[in-house]
Amino acid sequence: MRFHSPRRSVLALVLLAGVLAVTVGCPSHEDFPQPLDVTYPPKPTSFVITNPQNFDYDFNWSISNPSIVKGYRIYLVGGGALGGDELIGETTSPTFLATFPLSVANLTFAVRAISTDNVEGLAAVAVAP
Amino acid sequence: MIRGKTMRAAAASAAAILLATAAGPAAAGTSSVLKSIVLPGTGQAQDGHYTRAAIFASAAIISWTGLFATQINYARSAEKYNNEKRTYLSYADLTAGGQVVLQEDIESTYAEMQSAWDQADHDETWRNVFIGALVVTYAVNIVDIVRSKPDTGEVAPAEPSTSLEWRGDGFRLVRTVRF
Repeated sequence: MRFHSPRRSVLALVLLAGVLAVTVGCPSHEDFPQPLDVTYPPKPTSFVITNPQNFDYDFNWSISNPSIVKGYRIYLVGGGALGGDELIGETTSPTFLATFPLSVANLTFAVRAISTDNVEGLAAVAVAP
Repeated sequence: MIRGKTMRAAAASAAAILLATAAGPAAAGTSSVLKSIVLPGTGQAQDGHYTRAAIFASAAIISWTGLFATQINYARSAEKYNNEKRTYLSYADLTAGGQVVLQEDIESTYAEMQSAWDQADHDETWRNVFIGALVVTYAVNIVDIVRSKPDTGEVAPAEPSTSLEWRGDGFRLVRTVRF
């Protein structure tokens, strides 16, 4: 099979290049992955904040399955840069004592559990008295 | 490497058509066959079959245009899926390395990855439809141009008319010949 004129050969090569571009170089979607084999921590419950004296605040909560939880993080909701949550502190027990330099009354706080697989779970929120 | 069954089937079909055309005896001229391989319909146009030429050329142009448009869509959605998949799988490495990852991030990435997968599936289906249309167009076009004869413009002579006339005691066969 021969192409007799240069123009026709160029046209055929362009066509062939197009076919190759379509069939060879295209990305494809294959192998949908299995869900990650990580343990999600339970969401803390009964999260309450008390104010025993001055600027001291007690944070208490419950957890349904403490055996898969290695710690907790407490956040001031909306207190971070760009409106994000600001990390107040970390603890390994379901209680946290914090002293603030000023009153935090009516501010919202959140607590999240961290699983033994390093996944930080859903937040429970409470408003400081 | 050609990925996917459809791609391999399309490439194999195209190769088979080209080989069959190159190897087989052609009733039409070699020039018109080659033209039809390059662009369906051009060989038929050269042989004077303009209606078929228009049909094949239109089908080829629509198929090529549709194929490239759907291929672009598919490439985009496949790339989006691959990015989401890469991000999702990286969470396993991060948590294994001791870094804490938010559950919401893992779940939202999984949802995005699932959505991108569905979109890629949808786009791939349409891409395959146009690949099929292109293969069929080329196959029918090549078969047509190989089997057809050039239209010389000559009008075939009319068959002599023949009639049967009944008589009282029999019948008479009349054949009319015009000069």
